Amino acid sequence: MDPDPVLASSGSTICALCSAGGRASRGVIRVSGPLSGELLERTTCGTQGAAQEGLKPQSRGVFEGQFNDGLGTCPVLVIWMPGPGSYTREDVVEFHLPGNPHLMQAALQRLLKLGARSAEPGEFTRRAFENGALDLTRAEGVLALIESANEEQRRAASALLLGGLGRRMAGLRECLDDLRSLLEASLDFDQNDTGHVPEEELEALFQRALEKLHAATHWESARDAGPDLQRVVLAGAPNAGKSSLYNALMSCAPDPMPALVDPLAGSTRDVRRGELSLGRGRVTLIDTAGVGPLQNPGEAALSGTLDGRAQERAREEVQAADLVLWVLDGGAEVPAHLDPPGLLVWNQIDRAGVSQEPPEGLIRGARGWCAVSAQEGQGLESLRKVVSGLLGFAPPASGAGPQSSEGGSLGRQLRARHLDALRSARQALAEAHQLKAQAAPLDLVAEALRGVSREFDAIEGSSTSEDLLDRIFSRFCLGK
Amino acid sequence: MHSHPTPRRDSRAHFGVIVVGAGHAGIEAVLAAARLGQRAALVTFDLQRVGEMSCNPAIGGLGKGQLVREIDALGGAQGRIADQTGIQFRMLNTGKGAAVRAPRCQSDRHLYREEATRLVRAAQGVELIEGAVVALILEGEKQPEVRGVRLADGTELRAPAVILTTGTFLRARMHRGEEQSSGGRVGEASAEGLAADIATLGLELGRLKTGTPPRLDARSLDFGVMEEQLGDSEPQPFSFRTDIADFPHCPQVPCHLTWTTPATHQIIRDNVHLSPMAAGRIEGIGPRYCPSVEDKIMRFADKDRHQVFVEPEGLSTDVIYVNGVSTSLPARVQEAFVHTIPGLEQARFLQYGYAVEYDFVMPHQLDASLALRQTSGLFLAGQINGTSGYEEAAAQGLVAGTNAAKWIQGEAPFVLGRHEAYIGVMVDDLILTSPREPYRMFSSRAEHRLLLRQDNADRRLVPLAHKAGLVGAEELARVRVFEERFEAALGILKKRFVSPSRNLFDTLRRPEISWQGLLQEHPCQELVGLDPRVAEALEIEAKYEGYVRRQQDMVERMAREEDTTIPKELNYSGINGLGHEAREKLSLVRPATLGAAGRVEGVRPPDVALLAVHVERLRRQLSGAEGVSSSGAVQP
Repeated sequence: MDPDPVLASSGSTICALCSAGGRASRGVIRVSGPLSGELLERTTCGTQGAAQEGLKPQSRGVFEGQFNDGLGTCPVLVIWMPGPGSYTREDVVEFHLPGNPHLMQAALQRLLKLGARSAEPGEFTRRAFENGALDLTRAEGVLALIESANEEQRRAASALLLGGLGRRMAGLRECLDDLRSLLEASLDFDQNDTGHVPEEELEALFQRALEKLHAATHWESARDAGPDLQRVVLAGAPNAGKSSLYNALMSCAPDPMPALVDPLAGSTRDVRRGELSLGRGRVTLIDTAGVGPLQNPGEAALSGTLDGRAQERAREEVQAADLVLWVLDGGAEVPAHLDPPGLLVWNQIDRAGVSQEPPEGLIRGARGWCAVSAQEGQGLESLRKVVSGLLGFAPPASGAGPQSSEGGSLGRQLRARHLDALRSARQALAEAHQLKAQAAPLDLVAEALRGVSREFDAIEGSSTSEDLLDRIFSRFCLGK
Repeated sequence: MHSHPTPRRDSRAHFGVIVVGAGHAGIEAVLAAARLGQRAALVTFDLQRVGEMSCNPAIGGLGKGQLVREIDALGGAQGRIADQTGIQFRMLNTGKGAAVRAPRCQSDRHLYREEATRLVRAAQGVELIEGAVVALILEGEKQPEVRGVRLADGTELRAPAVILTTGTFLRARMHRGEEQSSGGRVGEASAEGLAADIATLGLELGRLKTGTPPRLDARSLDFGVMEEQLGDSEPQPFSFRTDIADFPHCPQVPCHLTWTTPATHQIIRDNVHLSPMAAGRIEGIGPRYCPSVEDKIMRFADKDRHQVFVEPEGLSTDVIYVNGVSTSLPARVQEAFVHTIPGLEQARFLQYGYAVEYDFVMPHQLDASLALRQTSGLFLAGQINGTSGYEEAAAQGLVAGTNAAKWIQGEAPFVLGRHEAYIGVMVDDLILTSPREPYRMFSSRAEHRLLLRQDNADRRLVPLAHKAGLVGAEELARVRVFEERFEAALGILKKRFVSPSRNLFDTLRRPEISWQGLLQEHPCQELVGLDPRVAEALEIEAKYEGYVRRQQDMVERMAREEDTTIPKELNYSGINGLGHEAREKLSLVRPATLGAAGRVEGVRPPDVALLAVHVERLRRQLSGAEGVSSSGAVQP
């Protein structure tokens, strides 16, 4: 690197939602890179006059106009910051749109279609730093913040993947991996020179992959990205008092239907959820069927019973939670540890003979603990405070640090990224299929398929050539 | 950047570089060091076994033929030796595309050794020494530095750099049935003294296994019932320097193909409990791509027959290598099952198959120059790094020999990128992810394989090799001439229009149009008699242009991170916000560049962004006032 870095023109233009998540009156999309001006011109038009001309990015400033997402228009406030006088020192444009999730989604899609790509976490900051707009300490601070926000994003992503796209992706991957291992085995191991791969098997795999890819894209685009509230999940052994606690916490919320509470263990069969205000923030509170932290995850699913399915769903919720409240009955047997670690809620302290504190070992493995009596309403206020604190709703101790401009609305941001990747994957797969139809050399078909894998990696995390080899070795008998 | 400062002059040094082991890695290592002007010693147990082919008598193959061409472009010997001693040449994968095509040859094992020995003896600055290395000479107060080797007879050979290419000889143990013996190859000892020294250096070791099939007497086989396999009618040499007029040098012979039978499978199934693998006597991990016959039959029970390639070991010998039935079953079981294979019913055994287990050094402890990061002066190449194959070994030998010389001479290391060579892919794979099984090259490991073809190895690498001092000006001139011919012919193709909108080059793009077909359809006087290699290159250029450009774009996008080196002072535990797994793996592997860091298991894109900032901060600190060390990111 140069000691005094010149503009790091990596060539690409990046975009991302950068307004705070949840319910905002306004949503902001930020774009940075050489295409910024062109994107501004192509997606907007002025309000004055009948001329449907795009806003012209001339000098730095704020403009009002209409944003066209390809389907319709909506009012937009545009902030145009030509480089080098911008955050990243590249041309930057910000679109301030009405905070409707669907609208933001469509706007983002439009920008991606016109040649921008989704920003990696921290990429705006990195560009700012590399172009000399941000000093080291500040860049470091922002990136550390993003890294922790990214942790949250990973959790949100895994929640989405649990939710249905993951299942569809798994089927899709399977199909693509079969296709690729069939071709690569022929390229790397088969000593015949013809490159003969069973035509029918190949074509069938192609058709299946195309179908599944279509279905996954359809599912993801139809999915409601939903409000991006953090998810607080009540978990614990059956009859530990989760539903009582849910009702107690929700009693001040306009929840029309309290959870059914029955002293007979396991009365909460399904997952219930409601919105809960906590100080400055709001969360989705989720009540699950009793799930012990120590049970084998596969066990319940295998049983296939109604209870089994409820338990499986409960586990999915726990996995996807931002915070798990492990509700433990102080009078009953307690598990040895909590996985994943969460807030320990020591319940039923109103009952005679129940210790006021959980065992030392459990406290060490938790993110904190509270003693409550859900029945009597004891300790609820301090519970709310602790939860607010853990979720970052409490007022910050000192200066908030640099504004994270890249947190954004996670669900929507992720969906835009997924759709972007799925669309590219479809293109690559269609290209591979066409190459095959034209009897192009197998190495080119294989190359196009590698492109499909790369797009999937963008959604699910990367796979390696070693993974592919594993598959080849498990399927084919190889070696002279 | 080398991991260690340039060594001080040692007035007692006999050599610049000492290479231990005269296998395929050792030969290239010593020749490369000598090409760069070092006085170099090659020390071997046995002068009769320089360049021994311990397993199959063949060079090249899928993924490997590309390596041989690259070694040749870098001035190495393997391709030239193979060309002089090959008795059947074939281009594999011809119908599957230019990127996966690969040359292979059967070699005369005896001639190969002779030619290798001749080249080593003829090389300027190389001394061939017979002796068993029993210890490393280690000096230095805080961290041990290697200063040479000690032989069994007490002789000390001193040099600032030592390259170990000891193959499977570290704590080697051979298995056949219930028999076990110490040794890395039939009739040869294990290197226990060296293994002990490596243990004192505190290196992390792993254990691998490999196997070899029986050798049979050709006079006892019935070739009439087997399928004959001939080489190419127009064989192509490996080396770009081999004179095509004098090629092939040796008479060409056929190989034969036969198959296992249900009776073979039955015998093996009945006796599989006698294999050292099944009995749990082997702890090393074997290669999945080269399984023993018992493994193939047990794991793929639905296959009712497996190929058996009957390959001659040379022109003047009756030894036959039975490729496909590598085994460590007891001798009598080997005889019984081999006799059920058509054509081998009367086979006389000259040597039984066996498995060998050996230690290797986990290669994440190496840097990209193949030097150990923690011990100054010690380079490793070949199977000792967990690889398998003559070609993989030779390529590493060349890298280690070159870099040992560069280090002594105070020059920058010679490191090839993943987009430049299969050799670059291999070294990068080895040092970032230690192998779980013997590492073999596959074309699917190279994400830029459309760029890394066997046909363009010299155009890719000769300019780099010339700059590094590995090849002379005449090599560079040869490549330049080729490029000129290529450009001239390309110009002609693009100027000749066959329709208003289509020229000859566009026509050549179509998958079904070959070079010959093009010239038949559109005779073009200027292109008659064009060098066939230029014609091949043009055809590939036409058909792959778009895809090649796409890969080049990808390489360019990543160039920034590939070029950003991570100072070795970086302390990963001082970086807030780095994921736990990323921190642990990075501290262990210590990647040389940001690009490499991104390929370390468990490292995600935001981790790389964070690293980028810390690297820049540290770089500025280091280039600023000396002695800035108060920051948490700098180690004391």
